[in-house]
Amino acid sequence: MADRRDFLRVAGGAALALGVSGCRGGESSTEPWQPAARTKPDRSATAVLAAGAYGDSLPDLLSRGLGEFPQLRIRDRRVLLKPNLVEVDAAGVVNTHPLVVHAAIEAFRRAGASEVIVGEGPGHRRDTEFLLLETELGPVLRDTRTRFVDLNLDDVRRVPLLGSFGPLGSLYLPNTLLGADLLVSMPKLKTHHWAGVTLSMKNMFGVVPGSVYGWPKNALHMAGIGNSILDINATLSRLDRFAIVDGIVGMDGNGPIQGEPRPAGVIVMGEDHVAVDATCCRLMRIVPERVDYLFRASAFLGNLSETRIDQRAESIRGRETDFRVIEDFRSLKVDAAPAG
Amino acid sequence: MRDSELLTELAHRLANRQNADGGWPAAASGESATEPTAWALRALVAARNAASPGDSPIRSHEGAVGWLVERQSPEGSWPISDRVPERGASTSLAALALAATGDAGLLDRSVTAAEWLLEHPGKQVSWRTRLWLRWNPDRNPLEMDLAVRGWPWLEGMWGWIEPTSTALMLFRRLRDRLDGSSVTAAIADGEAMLLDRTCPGGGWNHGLGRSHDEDLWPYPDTTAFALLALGPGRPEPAVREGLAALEEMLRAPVSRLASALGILVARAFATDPGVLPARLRGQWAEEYPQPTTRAIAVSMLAAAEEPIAGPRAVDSGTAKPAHG
Repeated sequence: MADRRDFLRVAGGAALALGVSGCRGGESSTEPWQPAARTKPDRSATAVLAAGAYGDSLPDLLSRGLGEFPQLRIRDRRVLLKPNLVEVDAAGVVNTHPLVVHAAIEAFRRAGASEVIVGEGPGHRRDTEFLLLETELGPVLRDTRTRFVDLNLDDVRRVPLLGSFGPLGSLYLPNTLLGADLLVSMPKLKTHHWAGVTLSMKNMFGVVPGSVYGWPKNALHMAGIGNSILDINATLSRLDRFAIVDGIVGMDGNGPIQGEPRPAGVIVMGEDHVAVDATCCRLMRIVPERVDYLFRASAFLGNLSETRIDQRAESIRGRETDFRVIEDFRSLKVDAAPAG
Repeated sequence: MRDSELLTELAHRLANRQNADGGWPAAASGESATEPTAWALRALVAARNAASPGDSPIRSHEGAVGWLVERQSPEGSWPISDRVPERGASTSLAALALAATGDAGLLDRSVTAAEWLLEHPGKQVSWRTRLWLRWNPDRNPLEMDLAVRGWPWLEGMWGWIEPTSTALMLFRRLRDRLDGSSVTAAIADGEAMLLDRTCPGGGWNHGLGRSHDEDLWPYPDTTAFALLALGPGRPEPAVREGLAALEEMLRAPVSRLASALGILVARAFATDPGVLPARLRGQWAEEYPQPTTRAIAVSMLAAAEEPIAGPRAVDSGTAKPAHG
């Protein structure tokens, strides 16, 4: 791995452009977010739900989980579920499991949503029909008569970014996303070989349309992955948002697609995506303050500190699972010394 | 063998999606954009070419031509859509579609577009990085040849498999009309890019064969595009391995687009498409999921037995030598 660091040091901007950068390049020392993006609440809440397997009880479980957030407005609202649909996934460890998506559809319908839409814009595979059929998400959507929007192909409009961590300034975003009353990020609990972890915030890369930026969405890599995560989430902070993380079986090691299955037996939910991702990190025995983009997000978007996160349903303690990371991110682990 | 019944059915589906402005959306509905309009034009021209006396009338392609002509910039490129003025890969598809109409005036427009593309390849890694990698070849984490550029999705970005493939198809189609040295160099670069970015087991994905010391795997659609761009009769093992990888990927039922591309590859390489034509017909009997405009158009090309680059485009492999 020293080889990779050597390459990054010498290649500089070229490496950034290829997405070879981690999440640490190019940020400004001044406050790189608009006042409207300062949405960090005084306190946040996350719920950890124990779930040993993908089964028929998941809709009830997610309904109970939504009940932990009585202030969340669902009734008569259009809910956009944004799962993580990346690759063909025979082992069920790359993508948000279709049964979790099914459970969320049911739970939001029971809670009175006027419409539940599932939308995703895969970053590598352009043939979304292929992915839908190969991952069993397609049959779930067909059987539940749920509208699917390929966010890569949706109509778009240019939106000024509320963050300036990277140089993008604005992004084209899908109209279905911008018209949703409630956006629900539904990632898989995974480590990530460029960003450390990929959770509810990183999952938002999938809303950026491939019809403009291509496959992969190279502009986000050129701006620095961490910077782009922050700029996108700062901009989406104007929307009502929620997160449901599929951690029943996660992925560790060389994620997000080449890692190993890691059963963690949890679903994590919450409104504050920084807090949700922080709780996920703690469940993975990763120190969230050491994940660069999460640390930067905690300045304005949400709560990272455990003392400011009310833990609902299950406790984190006793539910942690040791997620392995690639060597470059060894310092993120609770049993590692912080990076010098 | 042409599948006239499927062709007619898909032509009606395509016609039902046409917007009032003459263009097509990428999905079932939405605003018109260059790429889906180019695919629609290409498919309608193929349907026209395949039509026999007595067949149901096919929607005229004049609306699509008008939409594209109106939006081509003086220097030859196309915007992604009216709402997205940025330029990139849709330019090669629009030019291929206009060239395939057989109209001399539209062919001139395609030449202008190809000249723009020759001037706008993918971003290049800096000389400093390339020099460093020359001395440290084992320290390239993505294990790719950073000297080749290919063509990008979006102007100013890195080259990737699909846009490089469609650019190559265009350059081959028009090479007699383009500056000899420029197009020869461009074809050589595009071919080198495709041959460099293969997956270790054969075939292509979006454009990375390996990452983090691990092999990545191919996709049916990008493998088909790369094979169609490289063409038959080539000596490189990557082509033979790509064909084998595609055949393997298409053993199981896949998407309509993948089936249709598989048929186009079989036709181009003079191999037996096997069950693919029957499978494709069966897949179009299913209503779910909603097809993309691209999937409809490519399926029409498969049903009409016309290559993406047009009926006169018989690729012979490498570029001809530069003039002078």
